[in-house]
Amino acid sequence: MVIRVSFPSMGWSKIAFKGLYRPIPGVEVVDPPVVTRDIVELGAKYSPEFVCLPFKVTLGEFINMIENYNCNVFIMSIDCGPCRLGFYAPIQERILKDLGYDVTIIPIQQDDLLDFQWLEPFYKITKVKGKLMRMVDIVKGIRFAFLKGSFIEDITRYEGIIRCREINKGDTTKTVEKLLKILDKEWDFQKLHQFHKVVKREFKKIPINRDIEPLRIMIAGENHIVLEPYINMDIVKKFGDEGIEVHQGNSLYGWVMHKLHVNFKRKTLERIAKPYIPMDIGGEAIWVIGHYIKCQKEGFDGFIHAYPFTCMPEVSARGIIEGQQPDPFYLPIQFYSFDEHTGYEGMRTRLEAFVDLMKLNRKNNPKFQDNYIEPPEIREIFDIPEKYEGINTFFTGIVEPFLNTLKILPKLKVNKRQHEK
Amino acid sequence: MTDQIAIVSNIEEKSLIKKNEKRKEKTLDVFMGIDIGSVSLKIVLLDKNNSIIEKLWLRNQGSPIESSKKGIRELKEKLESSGMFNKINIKGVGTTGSARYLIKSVIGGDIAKTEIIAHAVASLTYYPDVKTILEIGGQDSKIIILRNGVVADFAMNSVCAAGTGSFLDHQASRLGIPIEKFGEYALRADSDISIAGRCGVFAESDMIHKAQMGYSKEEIVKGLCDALVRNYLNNVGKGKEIKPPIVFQGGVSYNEGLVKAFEEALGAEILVPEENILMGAIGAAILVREESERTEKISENWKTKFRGFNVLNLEFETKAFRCQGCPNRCEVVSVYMKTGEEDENGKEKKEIVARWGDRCGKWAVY
Amino acid sequence: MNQTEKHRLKIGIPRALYFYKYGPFWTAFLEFLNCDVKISGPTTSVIVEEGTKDANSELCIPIKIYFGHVKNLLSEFPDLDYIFIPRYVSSHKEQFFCPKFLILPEAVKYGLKFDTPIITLEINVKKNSEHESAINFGKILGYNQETMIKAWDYANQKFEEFQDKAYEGDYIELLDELDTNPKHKRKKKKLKQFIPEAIRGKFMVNILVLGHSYNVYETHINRDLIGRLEAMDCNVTTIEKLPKSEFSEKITINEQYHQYWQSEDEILKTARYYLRDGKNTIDGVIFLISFACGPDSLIQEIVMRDMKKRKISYLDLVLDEHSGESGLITRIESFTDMIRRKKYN
Repeated sequence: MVIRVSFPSMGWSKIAFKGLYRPIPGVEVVDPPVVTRDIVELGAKYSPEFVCLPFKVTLGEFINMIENYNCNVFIMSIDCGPCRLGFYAPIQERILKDLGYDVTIIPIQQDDLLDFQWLEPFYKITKVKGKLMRMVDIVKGIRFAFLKGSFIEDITRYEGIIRCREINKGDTTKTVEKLLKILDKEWDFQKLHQFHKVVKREFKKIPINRDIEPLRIMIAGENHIVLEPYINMDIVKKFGDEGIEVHQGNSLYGWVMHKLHVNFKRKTLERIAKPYIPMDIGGEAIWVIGHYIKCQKEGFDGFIHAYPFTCMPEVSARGIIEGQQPDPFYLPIQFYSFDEHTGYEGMRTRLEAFVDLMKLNRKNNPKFQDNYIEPPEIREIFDIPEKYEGINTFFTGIVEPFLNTLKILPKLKVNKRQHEK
Repeated sequence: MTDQIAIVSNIEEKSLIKKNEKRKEKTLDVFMGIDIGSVSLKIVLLDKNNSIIEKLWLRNQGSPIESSKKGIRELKEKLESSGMFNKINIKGVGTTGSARYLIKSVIGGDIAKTEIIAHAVASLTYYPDVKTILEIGGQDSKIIILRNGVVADFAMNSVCAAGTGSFLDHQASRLGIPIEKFGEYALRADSDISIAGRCGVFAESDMIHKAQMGYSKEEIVKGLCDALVRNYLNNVGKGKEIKPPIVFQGGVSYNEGLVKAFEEALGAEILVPEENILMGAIGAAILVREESERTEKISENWKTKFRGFNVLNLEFETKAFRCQGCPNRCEVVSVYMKTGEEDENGKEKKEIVARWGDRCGKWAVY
Repeated sequence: MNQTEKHRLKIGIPRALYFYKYGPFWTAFLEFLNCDVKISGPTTSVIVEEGTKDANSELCIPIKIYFGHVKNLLSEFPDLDYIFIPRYVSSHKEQFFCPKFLILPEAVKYGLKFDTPIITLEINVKKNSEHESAINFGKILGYNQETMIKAWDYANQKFEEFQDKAYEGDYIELLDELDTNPKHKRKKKKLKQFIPEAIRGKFMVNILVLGHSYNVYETHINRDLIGRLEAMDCNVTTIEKLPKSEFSEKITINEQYHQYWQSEDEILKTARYYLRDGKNTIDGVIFLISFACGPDSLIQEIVMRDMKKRKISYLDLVLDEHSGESGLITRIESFTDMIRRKKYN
């Protein structure tokens, strides 16, 4: 049986996931299709009624991929924290089995990436023997995932900041799509290491108006919702089109880094939010509060909290933020809770009203005046000339070929054994 | 029920029985089933072999008490005009529907059963091998799963009224289509449009939006039918194994558009019984017959609590007050029956028939 | 504020959420420390309304009721020194409580605005042992370690005694006995008998009621479900009536995942017990779920699928502040009728 592996797409993050699994030998990695209304409805049909939206979406994606793409193995990250995420995999597996599909869901334990439990799935999917060879492939996969993940983060970060300044409407969207397409197809480490230059070069081509001081907002909330543009109605683009500079609090790369305990940005946010939420309660609750307080200090004009309807941690965070308004939390905040029935019409009204509110604040409220700082990304893209970076060549030039030689070793062994027979 | 009422009804019954005794040999034992829902009142009289002696359908007017009295009056007129009135002996009364307990105490019913059991029992008599019952009524919708002639599972719509008769009624009037023609319109549509149907409010705004986009009435009606079916299957029918034979009953099953939408969605033939709206009442009548037979088997003593057609002469009045006993401040509703007698002070005596609405059970009289 | 001989600390406990489980423990613990324990009255419509007003609409109903009880305590006893809000993080190494319990003190503190300080007992065996958390609690009140350890052990012993009593007796009545305030006394409800006199007691059905203790025993919000079921000639079993030995084993789902919510663990174990050993002792299962409860929304699915496989009748009742009484009664009446017809025909 051919193993066809797939995973939930989670917006553009699928590019990074694909990078992670593709180098594994003996499996075919299927590119998950873009989430559509049909997929969400399919998922909602078979899910428990009151479960949170990411469950329904990912289940819909799985069923769609089984039916139309013949997938039989799914990789799903779980987190046995206090929130529902840790239960997705067992219940989705149960539902799929009851529907008569013979599939396996392999959980990735992402509780703490430093305990390396997340390596298990790789051993489970591959049936190739000889651990050394697999390690090489895994390292390769991880490198792809990290590089691609970090570039996705860069692209989406630049996107939110550039879109409100673009002179020709739609330039940014086109650039982003083009870049992500290139990134998806790029499997050469040497080129990947230089990819940030491509990103900056492409964004530099967009004609922008640098003199304006747009309204600044931060969008944060539950990872899946914020990162999946179909589900959140492409909220980043919608706000960008209204002429608002969008900062994003979530990224897959940042999350993985956090789970490896090296995301110091998140550590500071945790420290800021500690009086309100003393511990990680799942979801993004603690970081949402951290982001919120930080944004208020930095003079942002608004904050968007997006989360799935009835999400336990996010709703708790919302309760705390709402309870502290207007003092000491005066930064305008809008809550968007998404479920499969959320329609764009209702959202647009609220979005436009929120933009108007922020504009009025800029005009009348001294708290929101004269604290605009041009984001460093603009300077990064448009002012700093390209530099040659030597350190990466060490990796691509020496370590890579060395690992490649190791990769041959197990193959030779296999050949020998066959010879003896 | 309090003792006094039992006595009162006994007196009435005795007089009835005396009259009845004379013509006992010719009388036919019948069982009355009353289904009082939020929109309409249904009454049937069944004989021992489950064949319908008389049936009646009324739109609810005013309080359930008024409607039921009106129903009984019409039933009496019908029976008189067919000459059956003196030939029948009502042996039991079963009530079902949302106001079943109230009507049970007012009319003097023997049992009050939920719509689910009533519908299931009725369906089973017409289609002994039915496996699924879809029931959509005025204000609620249900699904009943039967296996081997026994109810195995059921579900009701939880909060929302989208997907019930009232919703369709409302939308039909908004579109300017008589509700009777709704099905016709749906069948005439030649293309599909998708209307968000989770919630009545959203469906309505979406419908208006679609109308503004220039879709024809036919297409919108069909879209509404499809949305309703989708909503029903996703909410009420969630996780239920829908197997044929499928019976569709309740007022909404008159709508051919919906029947077709269900057939398309489920890929199976949908059976609509001839008496689709009376099924609840039929079920109640069958249930009271079963109950009487069971009681006769155990205690050999079955007497109906039915007040007789005399109920038309009785006057009922309802009063509500707020109980001040605890912070709950429950609104307690009581139903009084005027007995026509006077007490020492010359005031009219009233018997309390039913009282409900309190949480603690301090006032409750059933 | 320290406890002195002159001033006996007045501590209020809201009668909501885990009071229905750990209430006996808390009261014994605080009483050992010579505190004057005040418990809020039984839930009323006013409490529910007050709670819903201040809580975010997407929170589950038990939390909203908790908010209502806190407000009720503050208005009934304005001179309270502390409000006791425990923080249950985990009481087994591999398990958690629902996230809402993890930040309950903060949710109340920042969600409602009041001046009375909150005192928190943090149960987190991932970080501290149980005695350590007792000692941390004692630091606030000014007790030494020894007393705190004694208090903990005393409370534990009392708690076990309570559980043994509850195994046989009426759980709700036993809980009510904890509150000595005469104003909060409840009369036993008089409930409508659904079964005609002639056949009463002849066609009994056995029902297992699953759910969190604060849903099953909160008679206001579940409209006295247990009483009503008994009035419909049902023998009702709950989680508390299961022998304790059944809760010792670790539970897995689909053979490779472990279950990590504390109270769902008990529900699943009870459900599994009745699927296995106690299969013939029950006729149907009713699962009480509060709307927007995260853990229940998933566990319910497993229980439902398991019960379906074994052909045990299953009904889930979703509770929220809007749900009417008639809908609930129609459901349980149909359910018991359905079982009765299946069983006796």
